[in-house]
Amino acid sequence: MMAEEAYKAREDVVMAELGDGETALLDQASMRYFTLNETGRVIWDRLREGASLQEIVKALVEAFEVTPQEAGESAREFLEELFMEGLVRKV
Amino acid sequence: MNRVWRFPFFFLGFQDLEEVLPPLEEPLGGLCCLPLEEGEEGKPEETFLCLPWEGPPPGEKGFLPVFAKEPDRLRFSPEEKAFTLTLGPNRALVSPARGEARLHLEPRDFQEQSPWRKRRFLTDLILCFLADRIAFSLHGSLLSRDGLGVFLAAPRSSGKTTFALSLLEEGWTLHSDDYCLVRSPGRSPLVSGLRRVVHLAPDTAKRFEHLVEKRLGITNLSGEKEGVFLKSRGEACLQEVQPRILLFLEKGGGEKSTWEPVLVRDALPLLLEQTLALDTGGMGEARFQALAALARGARLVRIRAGREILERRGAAQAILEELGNL
Repeated sequence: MMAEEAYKAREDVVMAELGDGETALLDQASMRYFTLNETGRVIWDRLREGASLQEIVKALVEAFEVTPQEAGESAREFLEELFMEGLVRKV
Repeated sequence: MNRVWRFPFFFLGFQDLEEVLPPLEEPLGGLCCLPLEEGEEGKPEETFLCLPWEGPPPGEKGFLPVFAKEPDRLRFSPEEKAFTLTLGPNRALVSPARGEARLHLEPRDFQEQSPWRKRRFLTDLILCFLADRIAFSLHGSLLSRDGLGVFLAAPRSSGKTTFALSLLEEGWTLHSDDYCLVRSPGRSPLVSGLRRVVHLAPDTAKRFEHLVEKRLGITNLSGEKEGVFLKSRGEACLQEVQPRILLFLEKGGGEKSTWEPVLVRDALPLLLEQTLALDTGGMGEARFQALAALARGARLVRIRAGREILERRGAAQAILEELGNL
């Protein structure tokens, strides 16, 4: 996965808040269900707009007390997972 | 317009259908609705029309199945934003956004087939109207007492109806034992009954014989349960309730009843199992969020109890009392 690539959440993946900082995602194509923590939610919100890794890292650094390096590693790992699960597409 | 029926929160007018659709013995044959009183009129913005059939929808392609188990019976066209519903030779093209349905009904088919056929078609027609516009269906029992709403979700043959009728014996109001409607006019979703018919397996019918007002014969699709109207339903089916307790009854409970709390994250997939497929015209997220709000706003409990326990008088009430909050 290249750092300059941008990703977008698939339109048929829907989101709902579960409370206590948790968010649920449902892939309506496969009816598979996922849950996100607060960090995942910040990333997912960016992905709904179609964000690059750089933009996601910036959002994480603003939202949480993390260094750009830590945020970058977490975001890259998470994006990889979302891409593997087919929840995001490259734009 | 010949007839207008009142549902929990909207009105449905059937136009020029007297000849093809003879009056039903009960209002829409088991749906939770009542005809309007003479002189009473539905508000125009809440009134849907059914019109005579004018032909099939143009460009039938790219359909999405919305009845998960019966994809061939009901198809949604994203281009037309309309549903095509079929049951035998009967067809309806339903446009929820325009508030109208074009029908082609074969009276002979309805006359020759068992009564459930007409009821089934009309129930599905209502679901089509609701599918994208104001509400969606959720399978389960809805009960209330003293302002406390309880929604009971359960897989087949787990004792859901037995549990619900057991509470009815203890003075609870049963709004629906089968399909309910969910809508979210505000932050907290409201639930109401959709079908008035309760389907009973032979042993359940015997146990709760004293609650039955009228037997309707075999009315479910698989043909092993009998439909009945219960006594004292009144307009309970038309009331909207905010469930404060969601119960998930599990199959195969033992001789002792047990319960445990359920997290919202675990309850949501259980609720999803009780809905139709979500993605009908881009409304999937609204439905998903309504289900999440329903779970967030309620106490969530998983119950295991064998049928022998549930059939004992007062057993369901005792389980609820054990949970507290009653």
